[in-house]
Amino acid sequence: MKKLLIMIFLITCLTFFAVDEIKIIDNLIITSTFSDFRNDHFHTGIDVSGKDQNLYTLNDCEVVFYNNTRKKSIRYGNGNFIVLESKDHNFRYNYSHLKDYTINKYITNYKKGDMIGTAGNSGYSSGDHLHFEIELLKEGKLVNPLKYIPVKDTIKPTIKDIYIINDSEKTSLLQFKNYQIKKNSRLFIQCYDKIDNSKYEMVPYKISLFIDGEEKTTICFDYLNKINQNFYVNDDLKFEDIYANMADFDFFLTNLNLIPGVCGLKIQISDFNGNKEEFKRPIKITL
Amino acid sequence: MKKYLLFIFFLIIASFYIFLIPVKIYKNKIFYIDKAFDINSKADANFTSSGYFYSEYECGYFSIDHGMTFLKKIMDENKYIYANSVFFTEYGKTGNYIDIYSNNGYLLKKIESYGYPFIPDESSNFFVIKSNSMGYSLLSISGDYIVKEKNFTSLITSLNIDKSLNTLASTIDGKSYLIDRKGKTIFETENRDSEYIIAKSNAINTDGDKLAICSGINPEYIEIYNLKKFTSIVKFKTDTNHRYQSFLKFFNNRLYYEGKDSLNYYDIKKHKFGSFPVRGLIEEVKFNKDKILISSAEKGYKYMYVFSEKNNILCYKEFSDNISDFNFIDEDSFYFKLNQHILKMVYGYTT
Repeated sequence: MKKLLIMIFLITCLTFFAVDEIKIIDNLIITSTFSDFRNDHFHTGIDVSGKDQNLYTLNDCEVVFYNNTRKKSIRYGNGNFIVLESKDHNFRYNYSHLKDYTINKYITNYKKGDMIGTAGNSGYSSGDHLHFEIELLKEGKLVNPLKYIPVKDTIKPTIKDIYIINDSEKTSLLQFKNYQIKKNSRLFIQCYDKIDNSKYEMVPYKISLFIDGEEKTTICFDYLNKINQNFYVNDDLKFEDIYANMADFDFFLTNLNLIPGVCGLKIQISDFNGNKEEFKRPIKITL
Repeated sequence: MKKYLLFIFFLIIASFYIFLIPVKIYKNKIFYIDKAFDINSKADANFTSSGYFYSEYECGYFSIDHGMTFLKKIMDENKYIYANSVFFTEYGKTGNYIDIYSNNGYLLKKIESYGYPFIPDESSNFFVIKSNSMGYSLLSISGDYIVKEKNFTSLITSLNIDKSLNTLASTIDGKSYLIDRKGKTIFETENRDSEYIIAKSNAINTDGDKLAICSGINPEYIEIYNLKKFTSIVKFKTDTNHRYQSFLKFFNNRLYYEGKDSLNYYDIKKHKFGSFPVRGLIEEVKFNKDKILISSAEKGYKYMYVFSEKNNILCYKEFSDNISDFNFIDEDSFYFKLNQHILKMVYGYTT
């Protein structure tokens, strides 16, 4: 009798605390993260590889817009896409590059977990994948979808290079031990992150620069704020500010307009799961 | 004697009607196929083109009387075409180029780009829409920038242009902007009266004095604005909730919009509504002086209608084949593409 009661108690607990499985695709393999470099704009979502993979809703939703590529209208870089809005009007979800004819134009409402289409290669895309975006409607922000989709990540980010540019001369702080830096040099970092089941290099979640222990700059790819028809990271950094060299995984950190002398430089890179990589070195600012 | 007189009288009356009043032969004015030619027939560039067709992988120009003048087919699945009657563009699926050609195949310019071209109607200018669909540039046929990179923070749902090269852009966040050729926003509007906020399609008349926006879900609204006074002329609910860029166009003081199984209109002068019933989803709509050409599709079948402006149906055909690229030639004729053929239809009398 006691065993039976324990069993019933355990089953009740499991049922009560059971966590809904959150999935947007059958097999989640992320190939590109939020705010990645895209030639002339931020990547506004995540990319997930997926040939013929089914796609699912995260919430009870209403279809607000879809594109099945009508022959005589706009052809979208997003290819075939569907935009859903949650019933509480808090979220909008954009699923792009869907396979032809997999969006059911007669369905206008979806329940959480319903299938909405199949990943494909339509539009500006070089392989079968899903581009997935989440917008917080009330805040007017695009949010990093990894906040809502759990991903296993035990690999810490990698620093490829830290370099300065002065009078268009590039000097690597990793390759050269000379730590004398001219005042007003521009400091850049090349770094990337990797996620457990993906071979792709991705943008890390956070890059912080500390000088003499004080946080000088932090680039956190949490949100893209919509301000005056432009996207901003941290409310003040535009695409051109961060990707000043117009290259992938290459981030501008700061102008070293410090008082000449020796100071401690620390750069910390972290991913969404808190794995960290650090670079520390004293530098000497000269005139 | 009386009988003879009656007979003679009958003959006179009969002769009168036979010889002096001709019998009226009933004639009915209908659309019939006047000409047809294969698009793969030999092209002769010496003739001026009077019609065209295009898809993602081909475009062709032809003289309706002399046949094909130019045909371009793309075999590479990573290259696409966008065309109108004046010119066509070839661009890469993920490439960074757009090649601009005249309608006889002469290369006008190669430009670098990270977007897809979109040619509004028969304009000699075109948009390049950024690959994230949240910005555009406006270029001339010669590849020169008129507006260089206008960005939004939402996906563009509809783009149109007037004769002064003002651009009307609507976005998925419910906003619409009228942007002049210097890139300055001169008018902005938003409908927030619906449960779901979205601007899905827009129209601007060629003179640029009126614009219309179709927006919202539950309910869907259409609002027409006077751009001389920047005021709303009318705002009305529709009986639909489109979730794509629905048809919206000004013609002859009417605003035509896509209804449920119909092409509807609002007469701006008479303040009246009307509709042309069609089956399925509207694919193409073309206007001439007093006729409206509509093609629609439903469950694998295509339908072709010609209506008079007064709502009389002048032509109706059903097809299980692929039909597309409708265009009027003049007041009483039009052409369309049926599989690999161009057909000319003429409105005339037949016995």
